[in-house]
Amino acid sequence: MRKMVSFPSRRRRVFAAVLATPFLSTVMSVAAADPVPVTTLAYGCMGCHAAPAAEGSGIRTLAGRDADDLLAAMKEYRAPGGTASTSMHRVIGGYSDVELQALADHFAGQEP
Amino acid sequence: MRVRARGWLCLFLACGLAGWSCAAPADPPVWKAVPEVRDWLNGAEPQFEHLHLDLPLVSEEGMSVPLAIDVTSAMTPDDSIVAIRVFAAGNPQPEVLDLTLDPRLGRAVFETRIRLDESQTVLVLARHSDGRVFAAEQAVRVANSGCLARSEEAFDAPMGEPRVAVPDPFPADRGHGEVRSLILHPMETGFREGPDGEPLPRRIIEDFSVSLDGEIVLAARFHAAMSANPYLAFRLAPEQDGELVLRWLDETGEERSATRTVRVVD
Amino acid sequence: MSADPVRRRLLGALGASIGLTAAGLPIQLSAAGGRVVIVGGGFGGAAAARALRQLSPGLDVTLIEPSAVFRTCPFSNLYLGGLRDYGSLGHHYGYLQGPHGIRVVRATAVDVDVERRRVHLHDGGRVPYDRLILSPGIDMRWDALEGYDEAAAQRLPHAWKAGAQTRLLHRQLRAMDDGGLFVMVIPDNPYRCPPGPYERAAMVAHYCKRHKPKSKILLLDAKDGFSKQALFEQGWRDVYGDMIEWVGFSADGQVLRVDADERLAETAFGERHRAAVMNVIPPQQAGRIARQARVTDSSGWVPVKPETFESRQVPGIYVIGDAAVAAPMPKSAFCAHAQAGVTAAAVLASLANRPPPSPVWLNTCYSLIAPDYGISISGQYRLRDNAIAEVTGGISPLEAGPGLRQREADHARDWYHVMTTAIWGA
Ligand SMILES: Cc1cc2nc3c(=O)[nH]c(=O)nc-3n(C[C@H](O)[C@H](O)[C@H](O)COP(=O)(O)OP(=O)(O)OC[C@H]3O[C@@H](n4cnc5c(N)ncnc54)[C@H](O)[C@@H]3O)c2cc1C
Repeated sequence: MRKMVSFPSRRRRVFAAVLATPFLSTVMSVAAADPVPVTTLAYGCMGCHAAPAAEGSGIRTLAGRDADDLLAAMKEYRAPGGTASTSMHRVIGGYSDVELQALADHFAGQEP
Repeated sequence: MRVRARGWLCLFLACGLAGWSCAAPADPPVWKAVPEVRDWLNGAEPQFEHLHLDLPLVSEEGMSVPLAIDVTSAMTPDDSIVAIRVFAAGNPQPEVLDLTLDPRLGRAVFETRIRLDESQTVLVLARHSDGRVFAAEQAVRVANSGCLARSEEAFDAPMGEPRVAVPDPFPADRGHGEVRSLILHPMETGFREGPDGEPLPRRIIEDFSVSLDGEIVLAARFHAAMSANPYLAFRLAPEQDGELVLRWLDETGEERSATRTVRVVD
Repeated sequence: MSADPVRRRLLGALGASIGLTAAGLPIQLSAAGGRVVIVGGGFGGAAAARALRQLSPGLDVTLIEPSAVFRTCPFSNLYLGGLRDYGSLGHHYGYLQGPHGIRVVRATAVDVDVERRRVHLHDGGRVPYDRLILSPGIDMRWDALEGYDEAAAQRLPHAWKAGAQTRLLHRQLRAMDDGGLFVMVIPDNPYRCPPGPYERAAMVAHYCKRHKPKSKILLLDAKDGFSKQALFEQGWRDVYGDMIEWVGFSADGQVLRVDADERLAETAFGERHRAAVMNVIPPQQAGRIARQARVTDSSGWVPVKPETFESRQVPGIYVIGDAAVAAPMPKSAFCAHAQAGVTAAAVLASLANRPPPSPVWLNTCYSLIAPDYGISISGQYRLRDNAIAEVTGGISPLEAGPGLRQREADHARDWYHVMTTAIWGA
């Protein structure tokens, strides 16, 4: 028989998704995938934080900052109910601990 | 020697794969897999011809996906399309839209907007007056972009006033013109939860009909997968001046209708 | 299948220069070979050129772009609103050419010989490539809206590619009488910059509020909903009262015909709206060169492999930016830049005959309601089941004080400055 009959709870989820379309504010379950290289991860941050362009603007540059500070700040953004920012807390949800650590080390190792 | 060996290996692999894919049970086609479709076919085998579907390959959100159907047919009394069914098997209910056609439509051409819950294949079937069934299907990827997500608020407003656009005048000699219709209605599916977590009661328009001078030329059954504020455009080929009445009936018994004068160029 | 000669040539050279750190992360490439040609020096193309040279400083990179100055669509709405001058939208290619060693060819690509891997230029020139990246942006579909062709666009500007069209709309708005009706015709998805029309409405209202307070702005939309809708509607109301009216598909907002001489828009159910100024944003498709290269499908856009943005139809051609089907990623400059980085890494991996690295893409689209009132939407995208999926994201809260709106407006300006400086250097 069809899945809608065997999983009645699904029935409700489905049209609800189309009709109510709650924004995906929670993090999708992250299936094990190949690790994203740190250069790719870091490039993503450059959409806003490109150095040295960010100097003089309200967006902080990341290059040369202390790795522990960076890691702490990123984890704070990622924590539920953590630091509310304009958009950091909305995009950082999908990053794993390993990724955040790699990013912190990467930026700390760059020339400021 | 080496190259040749590799060539043979490739050939062997290719054969092996081909053989496998033939032997492996492929997913049955939608028309065979879905009981509602099988029921309607009632033993007929659909022919994938004469029916053209226009649907986006990728839809950024599934709430209102434009669908156009064009069945090649002269629409004369003994050579016409008598019924069309639209199915979306990836929805919790596969039925989307049922249409019963009269030759006075002139063409079996329709446009509407439907709800697709997830990526899936949409199947459209058309029954010819001689009993043949034509079919077309298309896979649509629903990408669910948060950027375009919107919340359809529940509104328990009654049905709104209908909108109808009728060509004025229609071309002569059974020339057809496009009639467009839309009515404000939530088409609440019954699958959606309200703010309190309880399912919102189902409320949809189930029946829509079009009559020309008192005779029904198009009858439609809408299902929950029709988008809110259901939209349907169809063709009409009136032979003479007359009166067109469109009627919407929702499952609470509420009804709306619209009347338009039809003029044919002389 | 014969081995790719470039790949073979590169394998030896790159074997030494690419390595993996203990953590499995690639170290920077130093001296990759192969010729990479990029068509289009906009957000996607120029960013790809920069990213390629950053990842592989010696790489042979050619950027083909006809304009000497690139005008950004981002912030062109602010120009319409009077917040920016036209000059501030322009960016030159000198910095890419000089310090960054990118060969910039000022030409239009007119065709791609996919067999011989050569790009044909308008002046008869031929540019050979090993890998080709197309980022041509959009073209208008001149056949899609009755009455709207290139000639009509001279009276009813789209201003959806920045440049002469933007200036034309600016002039028309300045010349409009107080009390004039500004009509915007908005297409169904997909199109460039989903929140763009609604930001434009706010910026036009900002200008009118100060100079033409009796004017009204009417948005005729082929859709029943749009990006950041609740935030826009709240912002419009708070700042401009009832100056902006939005009419969606179900309220008869879909325009089926325009008349350029009469400045008239006719809707699906026969409503006729006559405008003092009419801005028609027509349905769109991938830039022409994508069709020439035969990478588009029946939708007019380019289907790509999600992990690399390599064309599904023609190997060796990568398509990024607005031209590609990247849904659920929106067609934004931010995404074009993000795709440039991922695709640059994929192109280098392909030249080195390695599998592409796993991707991640980010997006944030800021929109200004007023100079001190910004809103935004953000998303993070990864591969799931071999398709692009939004893994997290969100929009500005509906309940927020002026402090947050001000900060977002500031961030919008910072973002523009950072992005354009990072790509064009000024
Ligand atoms: C009003 C408006 C506001 C916007 N605001 C924002 C915003 O705030 N934030 C945001 O992220 N996005 C915004 N966008 C979207 C953004 O402009 C696009 O998403 C972005 O430009 C896409 O980049 P691209 O590289 O695909 O195309 P483009 O940036 O348009 O670049 C294409 C380039 O290719 C060149 N080209 C085309 N064909 C050829 C050829 N045959 N040969 C050589 N060169 C060629 C063109 O000359 C052009 O320079 C806005 C868009 C509009 C219309």
